[in-house]
Amino acid sequence: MAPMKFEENIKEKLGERTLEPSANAWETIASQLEQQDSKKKFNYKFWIAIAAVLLVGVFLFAGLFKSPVATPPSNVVETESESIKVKIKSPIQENIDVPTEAVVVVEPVILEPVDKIKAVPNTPSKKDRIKTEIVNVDKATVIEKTPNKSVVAINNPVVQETSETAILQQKIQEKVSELVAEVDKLKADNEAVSDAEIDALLAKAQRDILRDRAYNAQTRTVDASALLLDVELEMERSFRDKIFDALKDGFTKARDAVADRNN
Amino acid sequence: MKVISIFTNEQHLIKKAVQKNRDAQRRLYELHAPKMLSVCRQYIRDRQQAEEAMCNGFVKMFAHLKEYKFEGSFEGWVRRIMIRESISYLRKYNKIKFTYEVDERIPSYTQADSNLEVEYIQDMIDALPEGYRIVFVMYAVEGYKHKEIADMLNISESTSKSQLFKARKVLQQQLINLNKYQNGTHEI
Repeated sequence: MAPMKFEENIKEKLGERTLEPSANAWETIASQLEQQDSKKKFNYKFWIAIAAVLLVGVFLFAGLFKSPVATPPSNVVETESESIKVKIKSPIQENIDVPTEAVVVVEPVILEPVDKIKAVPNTPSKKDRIKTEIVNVDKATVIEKTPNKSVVAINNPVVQETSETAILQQKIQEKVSELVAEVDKLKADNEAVSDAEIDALLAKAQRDILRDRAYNAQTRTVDASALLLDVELEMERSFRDKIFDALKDGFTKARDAVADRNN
Repeated sequence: MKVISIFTNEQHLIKKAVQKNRDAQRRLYELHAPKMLSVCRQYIRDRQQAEEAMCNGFVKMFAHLKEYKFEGSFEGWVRRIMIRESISYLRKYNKIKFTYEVDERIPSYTQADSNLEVEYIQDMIDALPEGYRIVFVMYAVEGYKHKEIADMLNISESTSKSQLFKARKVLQQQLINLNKYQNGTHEI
């Protein structure tokens, strides 16, 4: 089989043949391999950078369209808190209408309830004013017992008839009587009773009431929240006084200005 | 023991080369480059162009090395890559022409033709046109079947057969001329 032998010869000889490549052949191959590897690395970093930019953009976009927090109105605050700290003192005003809704503190800030005082044709006597304020104390203190909303209209106070409340009521009435007696005594002595003195008497009565609430003689235990309230009242008295004085002055000025304009 | 050690070494080299170990890749190149250059040289006349095709083949081989599953000869796997790369190189830089005449007659070679030196054989193959040469080398040297040749070259089987016949005819004529030159006659 000559033809097949010839081609088998070709196959055998060409199959065994080797040719030595040039010296820089491997360098050419190595450089091409390096280029391939660097291309892959570059793409990897490139896509990571793109992903990072997209993430930053998403966060910024979400932040820009975040709705701002609405500030609640400052004059009325509703709270679910049980331990509502209520300040007793209220500005003594004459012939002034005050909003009906009580402004109550949100823990731990102590705010003063603004109770509605109906305008009276006559200037109320100081005795009457004391009674009014003590009633505010009473109602405000009673409010402390209610666990839910503390926005209360004076005309419709929320009173929980409990034995503890009844005892507290009794104590408050005693204090009222003491205060009235003291004022009468001062009047009998022909001494002028200033508002500051009345305020001081009221504050004293308030502290006494709170102290009685704090200590339970029967169980010989002390209510921590009542103690804290007492301390906070004393600590913030000066700040509170300043605020009220400022409010009082401002209100007086406004009242005079309106009166002058009307005249 | 030597055969086993070589095989084990080659397996180790391949695994390292897959991990892009440059030293292992170089060692594989040094082991197979001489034969692969010879393979490329069978298809491409110019030695420098054959070397360029070989380099491209090795780059592709290292890129696809992880696809080698240690089934069959590694040299045979690399050889197939080199053949494909050589054909691609020829397609890229030369126009490969295939004629479509069908003639399956096998030319008659003489006994003396089987003693030719490899260099002269290469010269004879280089003298063939591109289309003839590729089909002849793939069929006679590499052992591909006409169907495989047709698939790789994107031609019909009949074209592959035709090309092979014409290649053989040309080679026969060259041998006749050589015998005349050496012996004064083409007959022994």
